[in-house]
Amino acid sequence: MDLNAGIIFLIVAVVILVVASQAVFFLIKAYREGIRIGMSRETLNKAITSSAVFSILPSVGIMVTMFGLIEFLGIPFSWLRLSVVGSINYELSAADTAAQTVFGTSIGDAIMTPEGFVTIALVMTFGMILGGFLCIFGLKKYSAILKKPKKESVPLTADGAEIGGIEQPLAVSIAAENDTQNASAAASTAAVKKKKLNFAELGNLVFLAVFIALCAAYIGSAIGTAFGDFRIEAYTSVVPFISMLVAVGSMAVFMKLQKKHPWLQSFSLSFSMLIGMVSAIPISLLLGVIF
Amino acid sequence: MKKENTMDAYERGVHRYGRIWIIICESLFVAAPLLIAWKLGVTPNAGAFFSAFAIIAVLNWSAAIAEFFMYTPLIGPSATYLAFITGNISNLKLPCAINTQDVVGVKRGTKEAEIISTIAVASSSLVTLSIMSVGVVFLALFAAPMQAFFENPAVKPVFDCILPSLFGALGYSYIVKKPKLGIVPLIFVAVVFVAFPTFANKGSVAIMILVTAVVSLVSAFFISKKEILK
Repeated sequence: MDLNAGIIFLIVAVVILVVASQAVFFLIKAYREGIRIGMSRETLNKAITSSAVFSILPSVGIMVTMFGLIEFLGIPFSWLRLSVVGSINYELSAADTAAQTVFGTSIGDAIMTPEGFVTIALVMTFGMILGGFLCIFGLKKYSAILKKPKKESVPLTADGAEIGGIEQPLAVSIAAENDTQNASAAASTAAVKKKKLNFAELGNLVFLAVFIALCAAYIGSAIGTAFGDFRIEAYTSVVPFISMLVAVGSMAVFMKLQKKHPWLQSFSLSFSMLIGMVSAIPISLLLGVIF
Repeated sequence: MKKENTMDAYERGVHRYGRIWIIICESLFVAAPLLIAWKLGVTPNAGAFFSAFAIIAVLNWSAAIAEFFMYTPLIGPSATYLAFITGNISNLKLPCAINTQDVVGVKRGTKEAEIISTIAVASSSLVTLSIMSVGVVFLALFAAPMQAFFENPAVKPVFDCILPSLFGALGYSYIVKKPKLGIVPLIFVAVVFVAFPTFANKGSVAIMILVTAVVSLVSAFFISKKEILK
């Protein structure tokens, strides 16, 4: 069957266009609201450029993962899967699981039939659909719950922000929002003083712990790839680990530099990532010479 | 007091339009394969669908639930509506939003931070969509040379190093702020991944993020008990 038929391209292109419109819609809405509450255009534009620059390399990475799917699912459907909802972590393994169930062989060995293709496409779609449902049915309630404890922390945040000893951009300042928004909440502060939990500090800590865990899981995955099953003849498995160390080193240097040159902050992470990635080439060559 | 009363007009709009967009997009996601099936004149194999779906749903639906609860507080509801449609959250949208919040210097948990994360997730999504589209056009035109370039043995390692480099640098920048919080999660992942290298397969990292988050939270609470409980 022709997995790259024009009609499949057309269907996929329409879906992707709608998703892009959603992004544009939210971008405009947030930008306008930012202006309305008094944020400067400069800040908002900086957010656009900084996040765009940040996203270039990982996006190229996502595009490269697409090659893994193309042979099996064709160009348009791989394009769709990696443009929406899914992620590079998910799609390959989902396609493989689906292929094993449908054809009884792994993704590389199966010969695609129209029926098989449609079945796998549906499995991959439904496998990732829950996140959206959670947003439809739960996000409004959940964000209302998230807002609640902030109120209760009003009398505590002032010193909470100090105790943490966490640098300025990280200091949780829910208090600032509360000052303006919930001035009336001051009435309830008497009850609050009995509370033992410092919610501002707690929120900050939960953020740091979850975010560090996210980074640690990927760091661990590089460690596992490198040393979990190390053999001299498969020495290339350590390349991602070493390039990660290079990226860490670059980040350390950038963080020192940006104290003197604050403009570097927009680029520190992207440049460190780039240096780490590109270092893979000399590292591979060097390891090839050693082993 | 009703919960809705604490939301301003912008937030109410975010929830209304967020829901509408998700309904439109998710319907299209499901419609696309069905439309292709109809065009090809085939019906999906129901038995195979349900058995494959069961396996994938156990892993990914539980991950989606956990991601929903973990990530929403970090980026705010409007960015969440968008992120759950455009995907690649843990490996791109979330680090991008957090980094942008730091770059422009907004304080987490404020309305400013929510606006900045929304702008970041939207811009990031548009960059990904554009790069993917350009890639697809080139691929349709020059499939062989492009694939050859990216799969060239000299170039290939670069792309295996994207995520380790991103999260190494990002993790460092956060762990130096409170090194104590990094110790337990890092030791934990090192031990688990070295003992069970198969977890490093792409699909399993998502599960490991959740397990590590639990470990990291527990260790963070013990380390910072004094600061949380006043």
